[in-house]
Amino acid sequence: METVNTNESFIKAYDEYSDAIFRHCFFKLSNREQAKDVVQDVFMKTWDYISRKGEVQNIKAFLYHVANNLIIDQYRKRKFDSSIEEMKEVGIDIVSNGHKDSFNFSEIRNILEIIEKLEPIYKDVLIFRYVDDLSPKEIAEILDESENVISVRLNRGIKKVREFFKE
Amino acid sequence: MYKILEKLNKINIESKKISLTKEEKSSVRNILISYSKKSPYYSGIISSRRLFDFVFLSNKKVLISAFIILILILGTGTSYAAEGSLPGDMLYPIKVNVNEQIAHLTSFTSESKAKLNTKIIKKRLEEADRLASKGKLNEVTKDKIVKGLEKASVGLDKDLLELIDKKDFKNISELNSILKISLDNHKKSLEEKAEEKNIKKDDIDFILEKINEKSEKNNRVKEDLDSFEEESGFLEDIDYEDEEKEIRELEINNFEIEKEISGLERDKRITEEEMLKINREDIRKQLKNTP
Repeated sequence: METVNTNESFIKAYDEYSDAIFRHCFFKLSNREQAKDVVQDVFMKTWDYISRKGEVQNIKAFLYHVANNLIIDQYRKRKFDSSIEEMKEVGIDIVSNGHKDSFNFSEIRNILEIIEKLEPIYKDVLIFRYVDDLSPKEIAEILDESENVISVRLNRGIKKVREFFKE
Repeated sequence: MYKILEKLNKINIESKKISLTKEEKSSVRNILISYSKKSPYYSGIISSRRLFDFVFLSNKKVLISAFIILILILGTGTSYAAEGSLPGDMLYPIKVNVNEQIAHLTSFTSESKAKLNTKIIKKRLEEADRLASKGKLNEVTKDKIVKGLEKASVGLDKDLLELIDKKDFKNISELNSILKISLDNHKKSLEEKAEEKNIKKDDIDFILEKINEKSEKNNRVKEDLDSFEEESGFLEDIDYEDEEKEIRELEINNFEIEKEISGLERDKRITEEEMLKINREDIRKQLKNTP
């Protein structure tokens, strides 16, 4: 667990985790600009917390935790429908930012469409596991659940994805 | 099942290709550096959007200036480099457009905003004075000084209105006095230097005119404050506040004394217990020695 308690360690945490947090926000919001804004807010709120409480012990889990809360706020602000439709335009969006990515949406389109249809508890753990590449233990820390609960949700989530594929 | 897992792992591979661009990452990084340095303690009032808009939406010159000043702050500790600059210097735009803008963004209360605008007015007057001393007060530099004075003056008027709403007469009175001293001193000094250095009358008059305007406004505020003081005796309220502060301090002292007494009592208990233990051991030894 990485403790952050100074300006330097905070900026180091930004260098290390900003891309991962951005990716997480991007997949959950399906909007690059919003994801970018959320990343900035995540780190500002984290700094606010550090300056009030003195330190954050597990910075990675803390950042994802704050990101999740801010994403929920974003959901409330807008009607979150047809996000996959928006996602289809992602490639264009990235290029328009002058950042030519080799991100191949068509490759993973089907499976993302299915994850999108799942109940939030399964959708969240699948995104944490397969987009953010987090271990069940790390997901458990972020969601404040036991590791067993997360493993069960992951298995059930994968099972549900398989059922959708059969249909 | 295997195919599903393969597809899920594919998400992981593909998603790794998504990241912030170098520029985006560095812009947010600079904002965070400035944010973490400028707000060591959270006030809860700053809008992150405001900071974001300031860096991303301001014009290119300001953006470049912002990066330069941030590098200065970070690397060499010469953050005051621009502070000593005068109108016409290369670093002056950084002083006005970056340093002072950042100071504005990190001033959250009406009190701190009013103090900042008073400080900026004083700075502009000092700059005019220094320019006059160096014989560099011309049409271009004069315009910069006058514009700066007007801008800070408008800001200060707005801040003072907010302070009046809050009935913070103590601060208004204090700022008014500071400003009055500065305005009077610099007016005198500029008039003297204008004669010494043969500065064009138009250039100096323009600045003196602004100083007079501000002085008049200042005097009006002072008159209003005096008449208000006579009517409501707000100074009595201030004394009352001081009394409350004193009572709070006394309460804190009492609390500290109580804490100390309970600590002493605890120590006494521990000593008694230790004494008892020693006595018991002595008795045991004596019993052993008894035939």
